[in-house]
Amino acid sequence: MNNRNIVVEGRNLCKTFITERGKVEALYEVSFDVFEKEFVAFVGPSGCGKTTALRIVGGMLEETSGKVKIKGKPVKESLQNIGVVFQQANLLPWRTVSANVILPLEILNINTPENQKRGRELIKMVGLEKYEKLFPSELSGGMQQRVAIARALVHNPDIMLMDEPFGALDAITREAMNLEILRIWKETGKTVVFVTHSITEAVLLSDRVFVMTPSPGQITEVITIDLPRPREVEMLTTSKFLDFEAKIRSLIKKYYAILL
Amino acid sequence: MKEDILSVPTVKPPFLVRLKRGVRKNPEYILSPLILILLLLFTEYLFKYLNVPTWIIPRPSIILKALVKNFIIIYLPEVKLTLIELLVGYALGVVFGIALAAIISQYHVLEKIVTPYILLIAVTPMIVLVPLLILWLGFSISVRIIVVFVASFPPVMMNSITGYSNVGELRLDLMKSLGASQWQTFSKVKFLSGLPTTFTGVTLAAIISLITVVGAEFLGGSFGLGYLIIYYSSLLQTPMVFGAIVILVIVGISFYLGISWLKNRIVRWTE
Repeated sequence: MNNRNIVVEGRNLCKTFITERGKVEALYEVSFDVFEKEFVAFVGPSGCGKTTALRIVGGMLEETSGKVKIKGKPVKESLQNIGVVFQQANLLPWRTVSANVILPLEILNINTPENQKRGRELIKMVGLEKYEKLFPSELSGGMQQRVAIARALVHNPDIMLMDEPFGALDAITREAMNLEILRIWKETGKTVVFVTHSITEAVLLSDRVFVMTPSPGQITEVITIDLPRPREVEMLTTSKFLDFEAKIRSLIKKYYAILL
Repeated sequence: MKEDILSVPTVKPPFLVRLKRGVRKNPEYILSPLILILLLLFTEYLFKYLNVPTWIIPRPSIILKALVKNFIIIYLPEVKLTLIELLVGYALGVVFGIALAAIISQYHVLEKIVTPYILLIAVTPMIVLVPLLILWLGFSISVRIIVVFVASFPPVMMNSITGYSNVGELRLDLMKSLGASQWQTFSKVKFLSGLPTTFTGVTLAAIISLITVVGAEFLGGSFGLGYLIIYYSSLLQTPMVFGAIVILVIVGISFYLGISWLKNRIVRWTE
């Protein structure tokens, strides 16, 4: 594992928010590496800074101190190499499915016929080729999130950031989407950084899980999930799977009190 | 598409049956105009019965007669002028209001600094400028265009700013994650996210513009529908006054409906 290329490198990241209740240390001295083609998940209770970390990696938020490098370059110079999938689908309601998918091409000024073709292929890959001309409000939650995945990949980035992408979906759709994202990850060979508060989801999807705990937001432990691939839902009930879940749960458990 | 198994070749039902169904489905299409007709008939016969003098309140039939007889020669030229004042001033106001809102909402600090001034121009009835404008520019059509413009841009600007500053955080994050420029963020996300709110201001401005244009015509210059109202009431030709009022009502309703139609054409999405 260690001889693989580092794609995302976070070093001593700190982020302090000033709120009405005083200073909040959302991130405190957080360091991590993500390797090429790896699937990693940040997991932790609300307020542990996992979304903050992802927003810094994606150039949506400035760190207070520390630094992030994407393939050795600062985030601001690497935005074209990153695709983001948000909580809820975050589609623009006045754009059709295909117009939503090509939005990054317009912003990045790479709206070439060739890239548009990849847009159509991605829509096909997520199984929505019949729905290209529909508006987001005409789609189900799962379909909307698949459009968002196609949008995150349209400019062909190496890294895909996913911020609790399936949090708004019902449990069964969520399970189906988990398998779908594994298929897409395998097919496209991207590096995925995934944020979730679902321990099960983190274990099912990831090569490594970064367990985060709040106040201050820190990575307490990195757990390598050596379950075989391809992952299947049947694994959810195997003893090895349950052991991983139990281990993560025990790390987070002592923070239950501050959540209430 | 597969044919529906249960579909039976339909025969168009007779007109009366369709009418009955239509009335049951949308009774307001029949009942609303019916109320108007009944009201007009009632006043017609009431005023006739009470012998109300025409110079105080003319009967509907007399108003209609005055309106039809004088429409082409007396009313139409003035309607044209009023419409030009209204539409030119309003169009300029809408464009200017949106442009100003776009600039102000770019910078949070600027928005905070100008907020009291926005309130100031929003609450000032711009009609107060008319005597001054007449002093500077004489009794010209430009006075009215300017005053309609000045009255119509504040509501458009205020509502647009509200719309632009309430764009969801996630949408802005999406643009940031792609390194979008300020112009890209405005044109592709903020402008359209704010459009329903902008239209609230655009509709409000339409109502204010109509009030303002007639008020400005009351105050000076010898043309426009407002002028006709002042002129004919000074001659006690009340049917002619009511004729002008009827036209103003029709202009106002068409203006409002036109904007609603435009809004429904443009804002077709649901959030």
